[in-house]
Amino acid sequence: MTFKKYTIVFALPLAFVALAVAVYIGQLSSVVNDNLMTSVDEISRHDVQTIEGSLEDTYDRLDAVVERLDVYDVESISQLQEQLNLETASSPTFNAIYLLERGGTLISSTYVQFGPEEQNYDQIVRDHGKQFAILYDDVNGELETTKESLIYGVRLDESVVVDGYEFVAILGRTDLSTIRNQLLIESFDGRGVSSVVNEKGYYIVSASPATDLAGRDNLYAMLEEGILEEGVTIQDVRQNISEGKSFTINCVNAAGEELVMSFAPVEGTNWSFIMTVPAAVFQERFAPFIAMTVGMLAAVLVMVAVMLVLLYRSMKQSVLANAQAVARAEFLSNMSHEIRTPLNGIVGLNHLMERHIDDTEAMAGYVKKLDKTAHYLLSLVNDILDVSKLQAGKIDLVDEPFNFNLLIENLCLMEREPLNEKRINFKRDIEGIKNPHLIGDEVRIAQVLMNVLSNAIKFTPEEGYITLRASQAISADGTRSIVTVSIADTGCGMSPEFQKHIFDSFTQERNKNSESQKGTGLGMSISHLLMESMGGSISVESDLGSGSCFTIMFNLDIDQSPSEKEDTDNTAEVQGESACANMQAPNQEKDTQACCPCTVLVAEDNELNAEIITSILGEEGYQTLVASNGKEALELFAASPENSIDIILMDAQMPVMDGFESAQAIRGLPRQDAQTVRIFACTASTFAEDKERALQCGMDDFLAKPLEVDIALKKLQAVRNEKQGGEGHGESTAQ
Amino acid sequence: MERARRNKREGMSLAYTKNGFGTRLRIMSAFLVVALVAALAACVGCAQTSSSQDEGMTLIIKVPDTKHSAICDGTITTIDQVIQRMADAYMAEHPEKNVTIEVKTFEQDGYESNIVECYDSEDAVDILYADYFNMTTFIHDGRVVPLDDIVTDDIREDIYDYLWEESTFDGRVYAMPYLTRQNVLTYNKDLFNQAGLEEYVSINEIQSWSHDEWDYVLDTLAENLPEEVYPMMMYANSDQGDTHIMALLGSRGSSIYDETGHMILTEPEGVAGLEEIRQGVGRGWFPPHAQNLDINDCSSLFKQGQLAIYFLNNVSYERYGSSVGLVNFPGEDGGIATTFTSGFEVFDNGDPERVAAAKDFLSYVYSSPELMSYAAGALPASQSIAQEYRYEIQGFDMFEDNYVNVINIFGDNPDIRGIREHFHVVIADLLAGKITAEEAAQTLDETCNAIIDEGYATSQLHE
Repeated sequence: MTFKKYTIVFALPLAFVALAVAVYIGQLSSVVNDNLMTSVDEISRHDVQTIEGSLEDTYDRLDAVVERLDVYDVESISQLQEQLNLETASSPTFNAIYLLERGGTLISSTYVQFGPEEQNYDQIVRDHGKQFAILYDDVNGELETTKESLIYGVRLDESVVVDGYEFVAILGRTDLSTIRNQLLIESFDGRGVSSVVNEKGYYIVSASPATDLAGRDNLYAMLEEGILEEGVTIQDVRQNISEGKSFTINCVNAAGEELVMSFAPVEGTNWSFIMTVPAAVFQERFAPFIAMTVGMLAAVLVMVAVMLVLLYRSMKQSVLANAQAVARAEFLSNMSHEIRTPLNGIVGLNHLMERHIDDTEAMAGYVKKLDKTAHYLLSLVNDILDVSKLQAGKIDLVDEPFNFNLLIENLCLMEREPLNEKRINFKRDIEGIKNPHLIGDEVRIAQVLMNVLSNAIKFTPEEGYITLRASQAISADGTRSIVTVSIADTGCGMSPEFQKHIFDSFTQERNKNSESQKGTGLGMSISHLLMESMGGSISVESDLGSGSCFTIMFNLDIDQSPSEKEDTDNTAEVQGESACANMQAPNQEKDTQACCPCTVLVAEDNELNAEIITSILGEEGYQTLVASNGKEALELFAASPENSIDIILMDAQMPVMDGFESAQAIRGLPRQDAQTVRIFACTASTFAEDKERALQCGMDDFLAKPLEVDIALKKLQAVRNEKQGGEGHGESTAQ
Repeated sequence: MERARRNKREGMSLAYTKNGFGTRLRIMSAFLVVALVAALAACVGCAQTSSSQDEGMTLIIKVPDTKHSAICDGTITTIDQVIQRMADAYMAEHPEKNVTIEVKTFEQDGYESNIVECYDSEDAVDILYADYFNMTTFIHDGRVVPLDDIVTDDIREDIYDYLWEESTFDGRVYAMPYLTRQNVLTYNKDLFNQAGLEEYVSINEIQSWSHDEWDYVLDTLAENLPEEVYPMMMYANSDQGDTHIMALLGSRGSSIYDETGHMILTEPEGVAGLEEIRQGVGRGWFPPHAQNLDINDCSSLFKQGQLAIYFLNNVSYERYGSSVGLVNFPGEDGGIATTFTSGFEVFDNGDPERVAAAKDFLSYVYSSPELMSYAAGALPASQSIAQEYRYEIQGFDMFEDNYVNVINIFGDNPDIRGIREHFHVVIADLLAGKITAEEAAQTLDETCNAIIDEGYATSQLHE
């Protein structure tokens, strides 16, 4: 599944969840708002009922005053006012009580008399029904006070006549401050405030009362200073209040606070009760639900995400395991194929040799081909083992001083023959190497460079070109260097697709030349793994048909005190090896074998191998003893006269007692030659740790199976030469 | 109209990175979770509106609702308008100080709810402009800071010395006087003439009547005025205007307070004064059941021509013009007059910067002749302003000459508001006939002196 598909698989459910959450929150918000508005309505209804009840009670009080006037039977206006004065004094409601004379004169409990020309309460009484309550307004005539007050009025069913004056209505005046606390009801933790306005918008009850008529607040003025939302106009509000409607508006006051105002008419008045609640209250009430929802959703999403991640990991591991199984199967298949191919050649050659055993010329050709096939098989096994170790991370790199220029020189020498055979124009440029004295694993570096160079030779046509360039960057303190080696060829090149897999195991570009370019297909994989192990890199740039350029880069310490010996030895070695390629070894050996007898104890559990070795050694003039296991070798050596056995070829893995233990035991024998006898480990275990173990167990050198006969004989000859010269141990070189 | 619906939501966004696929999947999963949570959180966030803005410092000036007129500006009707002009001028001239001044008006009987109950709240007063007799309590509470540091030599020389004396406690200035008003009684000339008291009607002078003359005038008024018209003001329904009733207690020579600041109404002069009021009820000098009236009722009666004698000061005198005559409160040796000095106090609300800003505002006001001139209408505290407007302030010379009859109606009382809470209640009982003059004097002395003693005991002037 591609990333795009995965994205869709993830995004679609999440988008759906997001949509569902949005819808849910919307519905939740709606429900919460509805509930809050229901609460507001209930509070408003309760307040309105309280106000209406208060009004009814006040009207009843005024009626009661009139009834008592009859009882007192007052005879003059002054007596009437005095009686009103006492009624007022005993009233918890009124600050003054008035009687309205039919002619319009208002007489007060404070003894003040307001003529019809000073006030128009006569008109107000006529304009209202039997009962009314209005906000005191000096436009109707200034009475005794300038305080914000309410005027209650009751039209008398039967007029009261005193001293010839006929009174048609009774009025009561109440300071708003005295009843404000009764009518001012707070809700929502004191943030919702009730108020009452008259039809002109003046507050009858408000949270911030004015001190007098001049300073009183007005609803419409407040709305004008703010912003009405949802297209509502002040005229709409004014009309709704005058028509006695219940409604709700959203607005922002001058201070920038968002408010929800619920209006409800007060029966029997032109007033409107207002419950004002900051919008923040709604949002705050809503917030916990959102928070809980978010929390729960987040928890669910986190759990789902965790499950997805775990599922993904499980799937990935499963896919990886399957891929590894496939890779292993493929590897085994490749390895089987690669091993069976040369084995098939060997079997076939063996068959041909049986058929032509008397044909010396044919036999010589078969033997030569058999040797090539066997060596190919050997290199294949070595590569497989290398890959196996590298992939398992068990490769042990050594850090030893070496001369990089000599390494290159050696490399070129070893590849001179194939270069010459294909008449390839080879150019070497190592001028960029400023300090060739490095510390690292020379063998492995050489292995990598050899792989790349031999590949370049392999895939470059005759008379093609190969260029090897090496450069070096040295750190400021001169202790580290980055070496870059590029090997460019004019070979067949690689397709881009192949370049992606060139460093995988068993890969070779399959082209028309592939059949003639045999290889294990592990070289690049080994090189890549080795460079990774060294912290270096190997990369390739290639154009199909034009050639390839491999770049190897590694970081090594610089040898601060290079010795002449290093250069000399390496030179000698290189020259020696180079010379080895051309020397006629058998003649030399034959020259020496006659001069000095030498006895070799062969510890080998495999009879065939033992027979082959003894035959080869016998042909070379060596006397041989054979032991089938380590214990027998020990016993044979112990039983032999001192200095009668010169060399022991000790197989590592043997029954009864392995080679390592046997070598240790031999070295521990209380005899003079126990320390001097040359013991060669002769084993198919060729890893560095195997060599290390062999040396630790007292062995002197290491011969890898299958034996490189020439090299093995050379080493044995060296021992024989020493014996002949009466010299001690020479320097040994592991194969 | 539709009911409110406010459930703002913000859209959610999905995003992914372009790293390796495995990493991308993990990152994408985590990111989407975070994005969703963030988007949901944003919904919560957008549902809450919060904003904060540094609006600098806000000073609150509170002022009781008080009528005022200024010669320099005929539109001025209340003193809070003057204070607002001062605030506007200060804010306009000193925008760099980033001080916002709110002027809040409260009812005359609202000191408790607007000053005391607002201590240590957001509505705490920084500057109070009021009559001194309502302000001394706060000085002794330790809430009011000394203002000596803003009284420059120029300011000190310009303000009348007697006003500095009223403003000074324990050697330090705790209030800045702005204006003063002299209170005397006034009579309706028409009603006097109607009652046959033509010989008592005078113009362009503040009269002083003897005890006998007072008795004669009041008895004559009671006898001759129509049934719904009353001789003299009297009220006790609240503490508003009680200082004028208190002045009547000195009618028989009582100084009301001794030199220690304690009330001495139980002395014969004090009892005589109270007795005169009690007898006045029976002799028809006052409206019936005057204990149920307050000063506004008597004011309305006077305005309506239903009350012959009321009080006024040099500010209200201008409104009535020649229809009224002036006479000192009854008393020995020329009668009694009282003064109400008004000015500023600065409150310490625990923020030295606000105190400093408040003082800076007062320094600005007192250095501005224009702002100080708004006091002309009443009697300016500034001598230079008084001299500048003396010929335009109606009756300036009369009231200046009458200063010799002024008595300090509250002495150096540390808790005038405490006394006022009780005074009108005792007077109401006296008017209702519930107690005798002696009992009233006894109650007043005991109650008020206890308040005074407690006031002194708890007094802690701001350091």
